[in-house]
This record gives sequence, C-alpha cells and structure tokens, in this order.
Amino acid sequence: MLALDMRAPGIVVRPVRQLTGEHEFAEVFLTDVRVPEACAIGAVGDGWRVAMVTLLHERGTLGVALTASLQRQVGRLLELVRAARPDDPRIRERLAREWIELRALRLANERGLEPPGETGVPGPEWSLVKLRWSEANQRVTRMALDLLGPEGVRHDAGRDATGTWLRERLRSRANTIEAGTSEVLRAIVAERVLGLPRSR
Amino acid sequence: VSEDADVRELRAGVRELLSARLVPERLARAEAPPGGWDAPLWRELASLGMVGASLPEDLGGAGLGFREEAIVLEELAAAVAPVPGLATHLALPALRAAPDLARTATSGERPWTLVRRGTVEASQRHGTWRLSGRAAAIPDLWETSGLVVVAEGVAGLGLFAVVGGGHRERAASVDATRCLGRLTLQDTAARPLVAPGGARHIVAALAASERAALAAEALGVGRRALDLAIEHVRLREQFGRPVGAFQAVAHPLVDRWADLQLARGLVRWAAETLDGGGGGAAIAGAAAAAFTVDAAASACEGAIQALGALGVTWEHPLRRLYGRALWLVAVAEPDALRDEVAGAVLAGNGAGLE
Repeated sequence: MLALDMRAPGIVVRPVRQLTGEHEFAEVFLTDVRVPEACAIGAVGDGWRVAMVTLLHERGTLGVALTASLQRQVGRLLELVRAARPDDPRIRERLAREWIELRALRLANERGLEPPGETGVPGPEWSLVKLRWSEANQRVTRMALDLLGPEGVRHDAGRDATGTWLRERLRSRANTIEAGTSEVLRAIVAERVLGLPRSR
Repeated sequence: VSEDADVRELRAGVRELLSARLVPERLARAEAPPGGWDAPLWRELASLGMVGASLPEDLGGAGLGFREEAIVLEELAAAVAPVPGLATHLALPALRAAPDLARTATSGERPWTLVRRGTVEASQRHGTWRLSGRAAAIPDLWETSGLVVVAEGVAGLGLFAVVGGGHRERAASVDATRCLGRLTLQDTAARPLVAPGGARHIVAALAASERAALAAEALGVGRRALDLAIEHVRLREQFGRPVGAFQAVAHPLVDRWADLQLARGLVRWAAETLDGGGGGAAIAGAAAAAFTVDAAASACEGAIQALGALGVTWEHPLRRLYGRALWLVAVAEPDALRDEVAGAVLAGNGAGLE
C-alpha cells in the first residue's frame, strides 16, 4: 500500500463528471511514477491487510453515518410536508413509511447488529443497513421532488446546486451502486446469512 | 440480531414444547369445524408460566416484562398454535385490577378476550353495573371466554368484566384457529374493573399493548414462512441446481429477510417502550404493528412463490401461516396506524425523531 504525492511527475488525473455535475471521483493514470520508500503504508507485501483494515474502518461506522444522514433528510422532508401538504393522505402514508423505516434502521444500528468480527471483514448484517438506507434515500428524495412540483426541477446553469432536493435526488441514484451494489449485497446475504447455494 | 441469554432460553423452551406437542393430527383436530382451541395445550403452557408472563407473581404471572411476553407470542404464532394466547394477552392489562380474575387467566382455567370495537353503554342500578350494546371483531370469542369490555358510562369510559354472559356469535375466519366474534349485550350484569370516567389511560394502554402484541405475532409468522421458503429452495432442484442458486429466486427472499430483521428491532422497541411505562407506546406500537404485519404477509407471499405449486396447496403449513398473516393485517389495519404515525410525526411527537 503506497501513498502517492499527486503532484509527482507521471500522474494524470481526469475528473469524472457525474449526474449532479460534481466531480467526486476521477480516472487516474500512472506512468513510471517514482514513489519514495517512506511512502509505503505498513510493510511491503502486507498491503492487502492494510487495505482490508482501512475498509473495515470505513464500513464499521458507515451504517451509523448513513442512518444519521437519512435522519437529516427525513427531518428536512418533514418540514417540506408541513409547509406543503400536511393533510394529503397519500403524502401522510409515504411520510409514515419513511419515518418507520428510519426508526427501524436506527434501531438496527443501535443494538440489532453484531459488531464487526476480528477477521477484518464486516459482518454480512452490515449489508442490511446499506441496502435499506440506499433505497430509503432514493424514495425520500423522490418524495421531496414530488412535493415541490415544477419548482423542484429548476436549475440555473452555473448556480451551485449543493443542498437542493434536485441535487439530492440525482446523487441518490449512486446510492444503490457505490460501496457494494444492491445486487452484490443481496448476493452476500443470500449466501452468507440465508445459507443459499452460490449463484455462480 | 443479538439476544440476551434469558430471552434465548425462554424462546427455546416455548419452541421445544410446541414442536413436541403440535403434531399435524393435533393441529388438524383444532381446525376441524366448528373450530376450537386446544385446551390441554393451553393449560400446559399456563402451568409453565407462559400465559401472562408479564403479570406479577401474586397474579399467577412470572413477574417478567412485555419484552418476554412478546417472545412467547412470537413463538406461539410461528407455530400457529391453536390457543387463545393473543386474545388473553389483550385482556391482561385490565385484569390487573381484579386479582381473582387475573389468576383464572394465568392458570389457563379461562381464556379471556378484549371487547373494544363497538358501542357499549354502562349504567348502574341498585348497586349493580349493567352493560348494553354491540361490538364486533372480537378475537377468540368462545362461549367460555371471559370478557374485558370497554364501555361508556355517564362519567366517561370504564372497564368491565363479563363472565359467561351476552349473546355471542362466532364467525370463522381465514385462520381456522382464530375466530372473530360479535357480541350483543342487553342489560348484562358486569363487574367494574375501572369505574367510568377513570379508564382513559388504561384504554389507551390496552390499545398500545394490542399493537405490540399483533406485531410480535406477525414477526413469528413471517420468520417461520421465510424459514420454510429457505429450506425449500436449498433442496429443490431445477435445471441441475438448487433453485435457491438462481438470483431471481434468492434476492426476493433476501428482501423479505431484511424486512423481518428491521421488524424485529421495531417489535423489541415497542415492547420495551411499553415496559418503560412512559409515553410513546402508542406510536411505537403503531409503527411496529404497521411495519410487521405487512412484512409477515409479504414473507408468506414470497414463500408461496418460492415453493411454486406446493405453496398453494391446502396441506402445506404455509396455508396456516398465510391465514394468520391475513388475520393480523385485517385486525391491525396498518393504513390507519400509519396515518396515526404521520399525525404524531407532523405534530412533533414522533417518539425519537428528535
């Protein structure tokens, strides 16, 4: 595992523009880049373990972070419903469903899930929170745009869309892809939790 | 999902007893017309302290919490045990006011049920309370059931016990082990548990406790249906491999598993909120029941699909589970519960969105 000085000669970074217009990741091309020995993280030959531990730390707290972010979204959605259509039974139904799902995810985080094992691999139960969070966030942002009507899709070129529901909805489509696609997560649960035969 | 050792032990005890007793012939006997319940099994459960576990010991309970009682209800439902466990449980919080009656429930001597959907009026003449009115959708209203009746007096809501009175009509339901009764009371003598005017809090507590109980049952039904589906798709082969190896079969079952995992957290939360005795039990119960009864029905439907033609046969145990799931959805009325949750959340009383 190596740390790179991104200004080093031979590194070309080509940002990838996303649905939101933002650049959260990039293609990186390396051509004969020289890396000082001091930039090795951990022992040479031990990079796999370093990578796994790094992922463990990312995933170990991700469930809590995702749920906290969903809680913020639902809080904002609640303000929107209060202001727009608090008596619309269809909206109330959807709001209640999202609130209950959020409550259930918080409970799953607080006490439902086993702590990550010492193997460095997060427990498959973690997949549950990621899977349900991603779909909940997609529904919540969709509901917000439904409530906003034409106002919700206004977008002035050049204006920063940070924090708008439109940006959140566009961004949410990546939720079921990043950090393990929903299909991969379902496959993990099918094999490792439900004990179903491998699909490959 | 992790569980404490004492709860695991209780769960294993109920499960073991039920699997030993509920052989297919015994289940079939309980289902045969006119329908009924398995009195010896009920008394056996009672003798082991599994009826009214949340009541104090001097009332014949086990001095435990609703959390433990919910485990018993979950296991009874997973086995679709033909006993009046849910109905008796619904009446228990009110029977705390009458120790002699509570003991008839916890000893298994008399099943009880709760009458709270209807219009019943209470009046007092010559020192005796009398009830008149009609009520419907009463779970397990057998001839011998004791009734806890919510009735309106001049001073407000009251709670009464009726033993062996009233005109009772039983309607069979999709769950052959659980009827839904109609009751007509006409100047029927009743014993006051809480005099009219003083029952508002306890009536609200009865509703909250009912919701948590329906959720606990639904959890048991859904879990068992999913287990049957998983067992089947591991073994059943098509095109040279177990059908569970096909993602089109496996992934929907994963979604039902996810529902039930989340449901388990909600059920425990609703039970602990009840045990805590503070506010929020009505909304916690509403959230848990709305989510879990739907999850149970979906688990049954997913299991039926996974089993193919076998899943739609009368003989398969899924038929009983699905019947119970539909019963639970009908009685819980999840749409109404969600509207109540929405109202509480919009008003800022969302028990935990702080």
